[in-house]
Amino acid sequence: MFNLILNENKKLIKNRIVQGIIFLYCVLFIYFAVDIIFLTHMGYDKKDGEQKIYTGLEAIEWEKEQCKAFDGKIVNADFLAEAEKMFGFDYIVCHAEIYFIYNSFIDRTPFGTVYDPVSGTATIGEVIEGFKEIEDVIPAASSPALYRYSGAYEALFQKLGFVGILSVVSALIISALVFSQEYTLDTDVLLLTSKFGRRRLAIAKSISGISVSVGLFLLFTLISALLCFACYGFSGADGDIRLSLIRNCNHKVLENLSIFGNSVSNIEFLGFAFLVFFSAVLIVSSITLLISALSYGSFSALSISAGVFILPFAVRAIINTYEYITAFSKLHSIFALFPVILIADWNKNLWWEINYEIYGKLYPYAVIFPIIALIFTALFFFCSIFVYSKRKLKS
Amino acid sequence: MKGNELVIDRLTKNYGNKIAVDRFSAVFTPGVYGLLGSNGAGKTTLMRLICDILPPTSGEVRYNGKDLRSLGENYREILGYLPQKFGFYPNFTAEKFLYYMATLKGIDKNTAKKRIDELLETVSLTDVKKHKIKTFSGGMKQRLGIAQAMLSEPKILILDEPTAGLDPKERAKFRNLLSLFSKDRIVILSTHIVSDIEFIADNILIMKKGELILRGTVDELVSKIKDSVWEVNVPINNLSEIEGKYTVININSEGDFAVVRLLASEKPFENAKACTARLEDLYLYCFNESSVTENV
Repeated sequence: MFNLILNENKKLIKNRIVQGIIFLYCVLFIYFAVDIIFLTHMGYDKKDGEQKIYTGLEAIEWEKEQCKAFDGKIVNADFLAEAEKMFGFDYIVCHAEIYFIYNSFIDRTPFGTVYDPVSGTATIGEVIEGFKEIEDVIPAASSPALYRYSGAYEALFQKLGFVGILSVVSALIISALVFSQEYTLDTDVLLLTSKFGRRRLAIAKSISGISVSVGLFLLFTLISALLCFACYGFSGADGDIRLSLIRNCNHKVLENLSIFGNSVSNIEFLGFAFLVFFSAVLIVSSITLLISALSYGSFSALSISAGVFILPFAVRAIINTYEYITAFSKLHSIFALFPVILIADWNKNLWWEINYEIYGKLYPYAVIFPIIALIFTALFFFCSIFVYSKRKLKS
Repeated sequence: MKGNELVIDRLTKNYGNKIAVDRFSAVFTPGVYGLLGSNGAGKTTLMRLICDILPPTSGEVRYNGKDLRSLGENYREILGYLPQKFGFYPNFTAEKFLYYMATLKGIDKNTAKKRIDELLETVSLTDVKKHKIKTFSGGMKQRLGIAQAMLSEPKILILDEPTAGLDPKERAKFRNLLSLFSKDRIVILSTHIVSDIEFIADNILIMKKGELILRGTVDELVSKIKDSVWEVNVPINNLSEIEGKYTVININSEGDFAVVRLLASEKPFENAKACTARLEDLYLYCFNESSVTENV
């Protein structure tokens, strides 16, 4: 069996389309590396309290050095005041924003009147005043945020959106080819008449399709993580996720994170996101394998698979009216359970809204979705094997 | 698996209203069987049914008394099949492809290596074994297909149009290879090229419109038309009249005259000479087709 799987992996990797995907991955690695090492750094400037400007790598190093002073501290009014002296207005506004969101959550808006996060019109003094006011009003509205320098996690969360989408698309293409390329190449006749050419080959092919898809996802995630950690260092594992997502997510995301209540660390959140993405790759791969086993050619397998996964997008786009959403908000939330939407909306409001609306908390979601995905993966996996094993020629 | 007997029992395959194979029954014991029939006679469908890659409409195929469907892997282990139309992985080399097929046929690595080297030599592909299959000519691909079919030294070898694309030298070599290979094995090869099987097949089966219409050794079959083959020298102007009246097997033109080989139950012309019947004559007799070779 091992030899069969190995052979199927080799065959998949030798396929021109799969080689094209790997090439695309390589281009993206290079882009990520250039982005992280050069572009982000070169365009990254910081001003200290005396308005001295640091740029590129110098700015990163300066920021890392300065952040040591705040390491392990709870974000509060004193923190903000101190950070303002150290980093200036831009940075402090980000942290203030968190508290604006807390405020939105409990449906009180004193802070909102002085600070508009879109136009950024509040002064530092107003932000700090507003913050103090909120602290008095809602001392237990949410858990305190622990500060750590989390440059690597911030960069990695940003990259995960690309990793997810690419991994799902490549899982779809690779799995669609697993069985269908035999029909396209007319090699199925030879395989189906060989000793291990039915059930065992179907098992080997299914394992191969899933393992290559998952392998590429793991490889891409690993390389992205290595690039991020190599540039920004390993600090920030136990830092609060709300501080790391500030630059990458919109208010809704942060609001929902605040609803969650208990603080989630960067590393916990990374694990959660990884698990959800991993599950999505598994389920996409297994559904596509079944379509591939049922099809009569690579083109039809690819088209049908793409259609199956694009369909929820199309349906959502068609029925995405105000009336519908207000009438069927819970039903509408179900869209987020479709793997491709789940990943495509990774940085969007909906992703977080659904997680909390359906499951209430992050952890149940982190468990329920992967379990559902694993059950469906196993189901589709065995269906693919059954379909291919019983396959007969069309004519 | 002991013994080697393949029984086809009233095997039928319909495609909608079209009957591709019609209640075909035969018993195959070790030997070479030539399956003759025109295009569309149902040869390929029959072979696919025997290989269990096409479900029959009715009837069954039994190997040593057991239904193929119940044998599964055990049947495929003793089966070698060269389809009429099949593909390769274009980026595989000939050697890698055979290793891949050897794994699928459950052959261990050492045995596979020995067997692959032997077969590549036999089908004259040793020099190009490291070349990618996409660079191969049609004949080379066909030879590689023959090699993969023989890889596991199968007890049942089914070859569908095996000589298509092979040049005369390769065809002769293939026939010799098959004669040596067929000892204690069932070899069924289908073709519409009579000369491919005339000298190597122990038994000939002739199919027409899905039915088995004749079966026997070459001599037995040819004896059916032994007094019906004639050669006659006629003016070339009379050819069209003769072609309309008789089944013409061959025309050899020489100036204003032509030597015509034809089928007729009685002496067609005064100057006609009786000829020794050949398998090709029988084939044309069965299918009422003409093969015209004009040497003008």
